[in-house]
Amino acid sequence: MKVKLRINGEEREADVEPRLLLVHFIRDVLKLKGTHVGCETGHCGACTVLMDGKPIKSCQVFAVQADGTEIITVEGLERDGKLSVEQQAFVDNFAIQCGYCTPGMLVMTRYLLGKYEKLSREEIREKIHGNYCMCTGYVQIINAIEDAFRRAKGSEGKETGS
Amino acid sequence: MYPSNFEYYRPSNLNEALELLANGECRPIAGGQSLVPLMKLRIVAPKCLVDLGRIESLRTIAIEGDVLKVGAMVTHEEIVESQIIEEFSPVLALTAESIGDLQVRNRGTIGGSLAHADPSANYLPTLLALEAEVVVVSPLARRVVPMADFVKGPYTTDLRQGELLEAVMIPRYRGRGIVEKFAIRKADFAIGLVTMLYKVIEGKLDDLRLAVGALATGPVRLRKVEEKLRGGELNPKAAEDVLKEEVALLQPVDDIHGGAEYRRRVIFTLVKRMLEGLARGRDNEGQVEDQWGGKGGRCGA
Repeated sequence: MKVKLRINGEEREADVEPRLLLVHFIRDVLKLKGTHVGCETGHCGACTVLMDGKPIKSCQVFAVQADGTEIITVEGLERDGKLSVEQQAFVDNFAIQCGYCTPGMLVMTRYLLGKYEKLSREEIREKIHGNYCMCTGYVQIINAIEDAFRRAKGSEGKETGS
Repeated sequence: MYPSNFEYYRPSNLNEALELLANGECRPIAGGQSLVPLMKLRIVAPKCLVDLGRIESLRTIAIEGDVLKVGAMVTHEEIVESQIIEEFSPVLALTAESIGDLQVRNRGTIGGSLAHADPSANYLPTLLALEAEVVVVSPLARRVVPMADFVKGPYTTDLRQGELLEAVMIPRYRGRGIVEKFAIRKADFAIGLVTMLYKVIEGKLDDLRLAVGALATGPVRLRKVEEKLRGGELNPKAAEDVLKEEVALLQPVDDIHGGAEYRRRVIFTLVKRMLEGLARGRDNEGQVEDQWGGKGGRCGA
């Protein structure tokens, strides 16, 4: 079955079995290996991508269902070989231990930056609860997301959460 | 994990979908947040899927008179964010917000959740308390099923062969609502669910509705507690014995996430706390701290 979608700004097309999951379409057909397969049961969020601007778990969607949509994966964040705001914030805040959850966390951060002007630490924790970090490096990850907000929104004020 | 293969159809209107579903080989797929994992685990292996994702008529949120109509394919997150729902039925938005996580809420739909009828589905007690109705269509007819009759048991509904859940109709409730979901982590399946609707008129409790979920029977109204407290002063002590009695008769899910007796105690405690919060004159919507110190008010020990 034909699937045609726009991924990271590029039109791509392939003929696939209906049972092919979107995450495998992205990784194995389009060869974009940035999106990770974690738990495969819809819990961990490592496979998070943006579909028509909204974060979804690409292991919970068939590729055929994504026909005609616009997808953003972690590869779509950088511009001209330069790290994006969220990527730079993750590097600078050491928000990466094993790195497995990082693509999902980064894509989620991109969504949050586009959706909200400002989020408290508490709200950030709430928003990313569908993204697991099995290293439990959440403190640095939340620092990085806060920092990404500061950089992207240019505000100096730091929200204090509990 | 790969599901076994299937034929895939993506109709653009309801009639086409009903035609495809008529032969009994095909199963509908809504947001797929329950069905896809079940297929990956090969617990189910439908020969054919009819994707409802492109049927625009199932995606509408509208007010018709004093009834809110939510299309089956409206996602949980759309319910959370809808201005119309925020004004008409905030308790529905609170319920949707307590489902899974953001990624799941962006795909999962109210119709899919109801048709799947997982016993721990968050909508069930809330829709029962709201006295909602489910609109069901088939190629021949359209019928309306009250929530009280819709869920027959775990994963079992009143839907018959070839029928499709089209929309949920929610009458306006002019009062307040509290939703409590007890789970170990917020995104987990609920161990206990309680929805309370109430009005306070001149210090007296009016039109109290208490519904509980995560039961093996479908959601249940605590009618005796409602009766005991309705029209009276806010005195939770007065209802404690009745509550104990009524909770003892519940048949909660009994599984590795929680035994039936444990779940009864959870429900008893949740209801007791809600009533006590109310009696203290506190609006405990969003005020109960969860075990991580968050102020969800809808989750946690």
